[in-house]
Amino acid sequence: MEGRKEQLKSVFYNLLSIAVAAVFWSLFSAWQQSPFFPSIAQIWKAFIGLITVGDIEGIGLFSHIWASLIRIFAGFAAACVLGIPLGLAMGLWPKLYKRTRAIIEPIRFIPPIAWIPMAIVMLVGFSRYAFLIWLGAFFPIFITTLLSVTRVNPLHVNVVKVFGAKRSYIIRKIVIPSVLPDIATGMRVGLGIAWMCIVAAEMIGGEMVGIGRLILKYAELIRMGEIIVGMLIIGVIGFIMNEIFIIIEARIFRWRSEVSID
Amino acid sequence: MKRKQLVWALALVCMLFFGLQGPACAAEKQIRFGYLVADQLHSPAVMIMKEKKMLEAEGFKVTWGEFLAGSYLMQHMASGEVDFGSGGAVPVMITRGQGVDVVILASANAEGSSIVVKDAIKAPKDLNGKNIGTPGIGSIQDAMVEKVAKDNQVKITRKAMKVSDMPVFLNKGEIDGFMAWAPHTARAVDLKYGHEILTSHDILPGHQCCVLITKGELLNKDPETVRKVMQTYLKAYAWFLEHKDEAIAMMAKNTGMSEEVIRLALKTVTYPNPPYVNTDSLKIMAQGLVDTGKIQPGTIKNMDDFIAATYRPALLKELIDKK
Repeated sequence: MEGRKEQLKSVFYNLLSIAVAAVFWSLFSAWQQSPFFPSIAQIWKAFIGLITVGDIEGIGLFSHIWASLIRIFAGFAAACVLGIPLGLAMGLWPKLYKRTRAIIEPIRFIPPIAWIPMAIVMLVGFSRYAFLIWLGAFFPIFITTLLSVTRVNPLHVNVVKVFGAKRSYIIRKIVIPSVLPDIATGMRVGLGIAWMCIVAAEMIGGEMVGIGRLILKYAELIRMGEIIVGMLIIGVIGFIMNEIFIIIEARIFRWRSEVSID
Repeated sequence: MKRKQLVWALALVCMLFFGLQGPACAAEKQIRFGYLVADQLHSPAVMIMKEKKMLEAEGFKVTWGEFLAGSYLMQHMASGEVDFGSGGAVPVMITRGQGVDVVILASANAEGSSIVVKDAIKAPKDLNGKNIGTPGIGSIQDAMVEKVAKDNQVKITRKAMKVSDMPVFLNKGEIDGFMAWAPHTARAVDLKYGHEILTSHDILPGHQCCVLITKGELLNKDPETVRKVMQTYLKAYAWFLEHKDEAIAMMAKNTGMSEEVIRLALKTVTYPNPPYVNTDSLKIMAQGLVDTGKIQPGTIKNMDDFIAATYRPALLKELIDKK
C-alpha cells in the first residue's frame, strides 16, 4: 500500500515537472516572440501536421520513427552480440586485453562522427547507419562487461574452488550471474548513446527517412516547430526504451533491489 | 601588504588585457563572413576577397566560415553568428519566409548547376522513378529537380547529401544521378561516373543562383560597414572578370581540382555585369517554394513586396552609378 502511494506521488511530481517546464517554455516563447522559440501550440500543430499530412515530402511521422528504430536496433544488437562476448573473454583472460589494448583503446576515443567519411566510401545504405550506431553503443557495453568480470567477488570463486569446481563451472555459475547486472547497465548506457548517434548517422544523407533526417530537413527550412517535435520524439522513445529496460532489469535481477540509495 | 599586491596584480592583468587589444585592433571592424564548400565558381568575388585579403586591406578583421550548403549558412546568419555570406537565393527566401531578416545585396552568379546521371539515363523522361541526390530540401538544386519532375511529369525521389559526396554515391550506385553546383558536376563527368543531362540553364534560363547576403538589421544600423564590404565585393568582382586565367588558377587551388575541370565547369556558369539580381527568376523560385510548402502558405501576401523586402539593390545601384 505504502509502495503504491509512493509510486503515485512519483507520477504526480513527474507530471508536475513537465507542466513547470511547459510553463517556462511558454513564458520564454511569449517573451522572445521569435520564430526560433515556437509556442507549445505551434509545436503541437507541427506534431499533428507531421502525423496527419506527413513532412514536406509527404513522409509520415511513423515512417521516420520506424526507420530510425530499425537502424538503432540493428546497430545496438550488433554492439551487444560483439561487445558482451568480447568483454567477457577479455575479462576472463586479462592478458588478451593487455596485449591488444593498444588497438582497442585508441578506437574507443574516435567519435562515430569521425568515421562518417570512411563509412560513406566503404559501406552502403543501411549498413552505414548500423555501423555508426554500433560504434557508439559497442564500447560502453564492451568496457562495462570487461570491468564487471574483474569485479566478481573472489570469495564466491574461492568457495566453489574449495569444492573442486572446474573453470567452466565457475564461469557459468559464478562469473556470468555476477556480471549480468553490470552488462545490463552497460547495455542501457549503450542504448542511450545509440540514440545520440542516430542524428549523426542520418546526417550522411542518401535516405529521406529517419528522425535525424526529419530534424535536418526542417533545420534546412528553419522550421523550429517540426525540429522540436523530432527532438522530443527521440527523447520520449529513448525514455520509454530506458523505462522498459529498467523494468526488465528489476524483474530479472530482483535480488539486486535489496540495495537502494533511498 | 597582500591587498596592495592584489590591486597591483589586477591592474597589471587589466593593462595587459586592454593593452593587447592595442589601438590598431580597436580601429579594426570585425565582420564574420560565410561561404559554401567548394563554391568558388559560384562566388568568385568572395574567393578573391578572401585570397587577396581585400577586406582586411579595408580595415576589417574577418572571420571566415565554411558551410556545407546555403541552408546551414542561413541557420548561422539567423542565429547572428555570421554578418555576411554568399550562398543560394533559395535558402535566403526560405529563411526570409520564416521571418528572419536576411537580405540580398547583389548577385554572385547566375545558372551554374546541372544534373549528372548514369549513362543509362538519356532523357529527362528517363528520370521517372529514379533517385537523384541534391544538397538538401532547402537548396536551389532541390527546387530545380522538383521543377524538372513537374515539367516532365515524372516522379523523382530526391535524396539529400553533401555535394562533395555526390560523385561517390553515384559511382557506388546508391543514386541514379545528382544535381549540384559546379564544379562537382564537372568532376563527376571528368571521372566518367556519369554524364550531364540537363543544366540549370535548360531548367530555368538565366536563373539567379548565388547572391551576396547580409542581415537587414546590419544594413539599417550600420550602412557604412555594408557599403565598404559592397565596394570591396565589386572590386573583387571586376578583378575576376578582368583576370579570368588567374581566377581559374585560384579556383583550382581552392577546390583541389584541375584547371581543365574548372574550365569545363565554368561553361555552365554566367556572371551578370553589373551584378544585379534577376528578380523575375526570384519570383518564379519563390512561387515554387510556396507551391511545395517550403515557404508556408500565407507567408507571402504579395510576391512583389516579398521580393522587394528580400532584395535591396539601392546600395549596389548607388555604387555602380558613382563608378
